[in-house]
Amino acid sequence: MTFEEIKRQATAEWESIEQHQIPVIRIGTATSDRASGALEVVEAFENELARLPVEAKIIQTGSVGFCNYEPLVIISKPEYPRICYKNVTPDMVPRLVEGFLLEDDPCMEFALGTLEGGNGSPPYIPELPRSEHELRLLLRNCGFIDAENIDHYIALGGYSALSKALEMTPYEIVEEIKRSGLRGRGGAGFPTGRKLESCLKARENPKYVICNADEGDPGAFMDRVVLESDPQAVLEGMIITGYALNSSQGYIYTRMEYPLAVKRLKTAIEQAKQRGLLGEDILGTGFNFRIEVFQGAGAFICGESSALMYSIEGKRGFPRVRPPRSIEAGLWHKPTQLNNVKTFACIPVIIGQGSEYFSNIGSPRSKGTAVFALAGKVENVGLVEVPMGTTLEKVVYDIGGGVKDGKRFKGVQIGGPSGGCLPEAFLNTPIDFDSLTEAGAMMGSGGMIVMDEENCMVDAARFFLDFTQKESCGKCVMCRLGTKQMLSILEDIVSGQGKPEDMEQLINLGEDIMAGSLCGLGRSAPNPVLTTVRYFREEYEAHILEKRCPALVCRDLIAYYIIPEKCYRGCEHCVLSCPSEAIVEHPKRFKVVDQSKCVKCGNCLEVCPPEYNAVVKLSPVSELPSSDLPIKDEK
Amino acid sequence: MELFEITIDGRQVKAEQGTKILKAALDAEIYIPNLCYIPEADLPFGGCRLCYVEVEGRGLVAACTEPVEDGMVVHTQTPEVNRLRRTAFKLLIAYHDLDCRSCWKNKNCELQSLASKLKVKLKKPEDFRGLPTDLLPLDTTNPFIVYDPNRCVLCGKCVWVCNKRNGEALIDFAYRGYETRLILSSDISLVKESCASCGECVAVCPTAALQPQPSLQSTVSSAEGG
Repeated sequence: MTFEEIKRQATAEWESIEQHQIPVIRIGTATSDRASGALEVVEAFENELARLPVEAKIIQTGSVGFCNYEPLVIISKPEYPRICYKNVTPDMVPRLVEGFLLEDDPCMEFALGTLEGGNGSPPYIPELPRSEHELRLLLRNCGFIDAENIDHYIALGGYSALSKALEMTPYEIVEEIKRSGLRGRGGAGFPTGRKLESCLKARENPKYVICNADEGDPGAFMDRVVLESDPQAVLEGMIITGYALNSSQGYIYTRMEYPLAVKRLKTAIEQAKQRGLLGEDILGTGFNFRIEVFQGAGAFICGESSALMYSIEGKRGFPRVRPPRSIEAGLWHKPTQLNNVKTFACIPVIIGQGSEYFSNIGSPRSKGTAVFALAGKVENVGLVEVPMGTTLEKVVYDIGGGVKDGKRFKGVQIGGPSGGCLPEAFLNTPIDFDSLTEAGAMMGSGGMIVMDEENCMVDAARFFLDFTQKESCGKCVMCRLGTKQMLSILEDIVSGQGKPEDMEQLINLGEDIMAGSLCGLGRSAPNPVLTTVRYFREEYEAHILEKRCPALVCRDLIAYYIIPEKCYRGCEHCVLSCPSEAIVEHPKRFKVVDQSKCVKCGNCLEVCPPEYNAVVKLSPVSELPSSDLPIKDEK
Repeated sequence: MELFEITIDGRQVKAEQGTKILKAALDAEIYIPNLCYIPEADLPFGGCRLCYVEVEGRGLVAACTEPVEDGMVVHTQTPEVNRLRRTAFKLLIAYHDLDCRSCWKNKNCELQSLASKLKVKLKKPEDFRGLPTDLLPLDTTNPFIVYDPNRCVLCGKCVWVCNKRNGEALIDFAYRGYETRLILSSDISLVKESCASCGECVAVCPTAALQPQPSLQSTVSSAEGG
C-alpha cells in the first residue's frame, strides 16, 4: 500500500468519527487519569449507554496534561461545541448521558470549558490565560486521539514526515535536523543534529537507535504521558532516525513501572507494522527497521546512556568512561544513536514542517518547545509545553495558576534531583538550556517542583540527595561516598546537630564531587544542596545556629504546643487522635502536650477544630513556655 | 600508530596515539596515584577517582580515561589536582576499617602506600560525619574466598580478573549507592574448579578485602574483637 492509500483510509476512519452523527465521548485513560478514577468513569459511561436508548462512541485517549482536572472527559455532540468536563466521577455520568446526550442540557456546571466558540461563558479553553503562553508541538495529539489507534495519528498528519524522509538522502535529513537547532531533551542539551552526523559518519555497522524512556526523576512524568498518549510520534521519530543512519534495529528502553506505556507502545509497534510503516520493506522502499521495547527494572542510573546500554546487554547498569563515545562504540560496541522520548517526538515535526518552522520557535540558542511536568505546591499540576525562552514566572503563575491555597512562593526545583532550586528572584529566568545552567539549575528532562513557605529548603535538599545517594551506581568514589558524606551532614543539620562550618564543608565536598565524578549523575547530584546553600543560606543558618526550622518541617527542631487560652476544655479531639498518648489534661482542664512522649505526627494540629485553632507548631523547641518543657506527671 | 609527543610535568614523553595519559606517565616512570587501574584492560574502570591531572586548555581530567594528544601539556601536581585526589582518598579511608595493626595486609597495602604518597594521615578524617561505627559481617559463603566489605575499595580489579580467567565473573558488584559491595558466587558447582585453583582475585586485591578461606579463623576473631 502506498502512503497515500494508508492516509486515505485513516482519514476516512477519522472523519467517520469527527463528522459524527452520534456523540463521541473522549475519556483520558493515561496513568494519571487512572489514578484519579478514569477507568470507573469509562465503566459508568458504558453502563449508562447500555441502559438508555442513546448511541455514543467512547474513545479512550491519553492525557491532555491537565492533571488537576482529571478524570477529564471531552464530549462532542452534533451541533454543540466540544465540551470538556473536569474531575468527572461515576455519579456525574448519568447526568451527562441523560441530561446532555439524551436531552439537551450540556451540564455546564461540570464543565471546564469548551474547545470551540468563545466570546462569553462558558469559558473557551483556548482563551484561558494559560493557553496564551502554551504551544503544543509535542503534546498536540495528547488527550485527543486514541493512543491505540494508528489511524488517528495518521489522519492528523502522522507519518507524513516519514513518507517525506524516505525520499530524502540521509545527509539531507541530518542537515535538516542540524538546521532546526534541536538539542537533546534528556537534559544535557547536546545538539541532536551533530550527534546524528557523527553517528552517520561512524564506519562500523550495524548501527543502533535507542530511545531513552527511562524516566526516573521524582515528580517527572512528561515522557510517560507522551508514550501513553501519542506513542506513534516517538516511533516515527525513531524510524526516520533509523533511516538516516541506515540502522535496522531500534530499542525503546523504558521501565517496569510504566506498564501502560509499555502496553500502548507494543500495540503501536504492531499497528505500525501492519500498515507497512515499520518492519520489513517500509513503504516499499526496501528499508527495514525493527523496534523492540526493553523494560529495565527501575534503576535510576540506567537513564544514563552508557549504563542503559549495558543494561540492554544484560550487564549491571554501570556508566562507563568516555572515550569511546556511544556514537562510535555504544550498544554491543557498535555506533549507537541514543535520544530522549521528546527528542524523537520532535523529529517528525522538523522533517514534516521544515527546520525553519521549528527554529522559529524558542530562544536564540534553544529551539522549539520545552515540556515540563509541573508538580508540587502549584494550582495546576500537570504537563506544560511552552516555547523555549518562556520565563519561569509565566509557567508557575500564568500557566500553573500560582502557588496552591494562596501560600507564599519560596522556590522551584528544576531538572529533577540533579537540578537546582531557584528562589523568587530567579522567576524571570528564561527556560532554556543555557540560562538555567547559568542560574545553577538545569533543564534536565523536565521536572519542575514548586515549593512554598511550608517547605524547608534544607529538608528538600536532603530529600533529593537521599534519592541520588540511594540511586548512585556505586562505581566511583566521589559519588558513592561523597554524596553519603554530604547526606550525613544534612541529616545532622535537620536534626539540630549542625555545626557552623558545615555549610563550607558542604560547598567544598559538593564542588569536588561535581568536578571529580565519573558520570553525569555524580557531576550534578550536589546541585540541590549547592543551590539551596547559595540562595537560602539563612535557612541553613537558622537550623545550625538557632536550631530553628523556619518552615516548621524538621521534626527534631519543632514542638507541638496547645495554647491554653484557646483550648476549649470540653473537647477531646486531640487526645483521641494522639497515637502516643502524649496529650494530657491539665488540672485546669486545658490540654497539654507531653513533649517526652510526643512523636510529632501532627494529628492534634489536624484535628483541632478550626474555631479553636489551639494547636501550633513552634521552632526552636526552646520557644516552648518553660512550664511546658519537662512535663511531669501531674496526676 | 602515530607517535605523539606530550609534556608531563615539564618532561617530554612519547606515546602512541590512543594511549591514555596515565599509561604514558607510568611508562615514563612519572607516578600518578591510582587504585583501580589495570594496564591490560581494554576499557579503564574509572572508579577510584585518584588519577586526576590537569591538562592545559582542558582543565582537570582523569588520567586513566583521557587519550594523549600531540603537544598536550600535563601537570600531575597542581593545587586543584591535589585537592580532588585528597578528597577522594579521604572518602575512601573514612569508610574503611582502619584497624591496620590487626590486618593481614598491614605494610603490604596499597592504601597505606597511597597515604604516604598523598601525605594524608591514615586515620578517620575529623571533619567527616556519620561514619559507621560497627563493622559489616564478613561474607564467608564462598568455600574458597572470604570477602571483607569493610576493607573493600570497590576498585573492581577482582571482577575484571575473574571475568578474564573464567569467561564470567564469579565475583561481581551488587546493590546500589552506599550499600554497593561485592558478592561472591557460592554455587559450588560453578566455583569448584575455578576458585579452588585460581586465587587471582586475592592476588590482585589492593587491600585486604579478599583472602583465601584457610585464614578465616583469625580474621573473624579480629573483626569481632575490633
